Amino acid sequence: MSTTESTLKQRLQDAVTRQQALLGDLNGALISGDRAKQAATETQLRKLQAEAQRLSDELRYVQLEQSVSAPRAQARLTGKAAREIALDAIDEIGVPVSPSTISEFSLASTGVAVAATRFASLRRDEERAARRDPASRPAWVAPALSAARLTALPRLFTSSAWAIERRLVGARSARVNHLYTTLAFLDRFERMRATNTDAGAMENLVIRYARGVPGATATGADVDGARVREVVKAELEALEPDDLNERCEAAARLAKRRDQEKLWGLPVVIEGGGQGERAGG
Amino acid sequence: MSSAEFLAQLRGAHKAEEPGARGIERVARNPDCLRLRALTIAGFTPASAAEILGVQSKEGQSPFALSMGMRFDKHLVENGAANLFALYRKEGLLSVQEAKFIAIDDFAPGASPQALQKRLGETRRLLDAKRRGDPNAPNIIVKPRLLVDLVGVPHAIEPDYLVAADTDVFYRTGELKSYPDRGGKTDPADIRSACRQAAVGVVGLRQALASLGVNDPAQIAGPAADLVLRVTGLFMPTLSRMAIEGEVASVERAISEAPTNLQELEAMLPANASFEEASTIAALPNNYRPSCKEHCAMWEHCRAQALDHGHPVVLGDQAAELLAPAGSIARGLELMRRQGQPPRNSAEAALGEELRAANDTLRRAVGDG
Repeated sequence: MSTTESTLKQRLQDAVTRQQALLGDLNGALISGDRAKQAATETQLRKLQAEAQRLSDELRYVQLEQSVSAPRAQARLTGKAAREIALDAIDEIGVPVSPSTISEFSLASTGVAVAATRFASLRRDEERAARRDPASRPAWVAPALSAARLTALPRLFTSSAWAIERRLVGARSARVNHLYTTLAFLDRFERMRATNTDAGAMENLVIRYARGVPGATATGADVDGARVREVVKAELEALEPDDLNERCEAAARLAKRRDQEKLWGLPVVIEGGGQGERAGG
Repeated sequence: MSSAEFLAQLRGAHKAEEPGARGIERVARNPDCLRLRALTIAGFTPASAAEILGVQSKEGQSPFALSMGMRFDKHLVENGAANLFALYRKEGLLSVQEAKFIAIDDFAPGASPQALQKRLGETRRLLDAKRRGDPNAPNIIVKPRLLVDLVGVPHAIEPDYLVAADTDVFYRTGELKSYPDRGGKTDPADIRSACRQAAVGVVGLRQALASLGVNDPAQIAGPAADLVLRVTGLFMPTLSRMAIEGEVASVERAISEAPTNLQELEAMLPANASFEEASTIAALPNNYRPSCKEHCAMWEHCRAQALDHGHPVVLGDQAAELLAPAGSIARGLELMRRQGQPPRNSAEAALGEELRAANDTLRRAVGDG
């Protein structure tokens, strides 16, 4: 029950109590033949009746307003569809990301909460639409591809507008992507802080990601952007050349494939059929 | 009747359940329990069997512990296992360059048969890459899918992770547990259970190596595991490297004894017996131990049976050991009171003496002597 509703109910109950008292007075005036008191009481009763009617109408209005269901979470929040939110996040982070990362980033940077589960159907919808008419949109939310197998990694999202090697994931890419994601979050956090935007959630995200990089954070201390950047970049320098080599080699293999395969990956070949496991037989 | 046919008969219409590493570990915890072993081989979890027996399943962790465990696992393996990798870096066990990571379920999420088969294939490919010394072989593999063969039937397990530095010959299994790490005061039962689960992973790795043509898999997949626990009160991980020879041996023993159990079982049960019948399960010899309540949903049923038979184990492990010569609580009381048959052997006579002395001491202590 809302506060307004309970206040109205209380006022209505008070009016009824006063009416009951006045009715008692009216009865007494009638018995005693006190006409003056009878007239005064009838006037007060009419006023109270009018007040009770008004309160009753207001109460019905409030209850009616509450019974109308709250509007459902809109597919378009802040004027953007889920795919646009995803593509914006993917482009800003710049490396393949998981739906949960997109969701967390969207919430921390814009305050718009989009459940990660909503992105699961998005990828399938994108693939269906793109297979029908690939040129109908400038960019699609496409899966990252395994550098070893050239098959789709359905849990990692990229943009179809990216160069092929950026969409490939090699042995070291998970780490490299984590490092780049940390830098992207740090950049956004510093921009938000510079413009006096509430950056608390973004700061938490930066701390969480930077904790996965030894030496980037100190327990209990605020985010030291310069330190995070320095440590992350040092690790990237050690890892990125090998990662890029592996992805470029895979990109060269993928370049020979059809356009649809470049976007959605090679069909999955299931091996070892003769070795199929059965639980208990 | 072949083993597969016999198992199909035992299962009846029941859909086989994967025991996983936890299920196989359970068998190794109580290797003398034919009931648990037979049900596991046939594809029944203790929880399903408890349901058939009509007892309320009290197995499993509390929802709070489960949720904590899941959050802890996620914290360590999300974002390219950044926090797990940071832990290994901190401990000096992996270098900056040894950041090759793969989560097997990224290749094929979900539980469809195709996804499961693909995860199995990817794991096999990566294990083969490491065995061949491929420089791109991952250093950390999260949720690899391995097979453990029981009576010729492959059972799938998914250890939490495998880890190896570039210079290591092969992977070691890792277990993530949200138990608080209290050093030497950590609950030994928790540690033993985690080590046995890791041991199932080692057996899975050895069987995978054997299927890849390796002659002596035990040389490559050694009996060692990493245990990641939680700092008390925090979400920070700790790492302990464990030697698990005993645990691996107990799991291998449990697995190697399984075919014998099947033959024993076939001879013991009536024709066309099925575990869908409560009476069939109840007729299987069990081996109730007080520790069963830690891991087996049938413990209440088994304890009630032990109580019906007056088995000393209901008084605890120490009492069971002491009263072993008598075989039952009733016989123990007879020996103490010099009733019934006279002692059948010197062990019974000694037990009678010991019980009488203890009884006298007790009565003096409570003023009734």
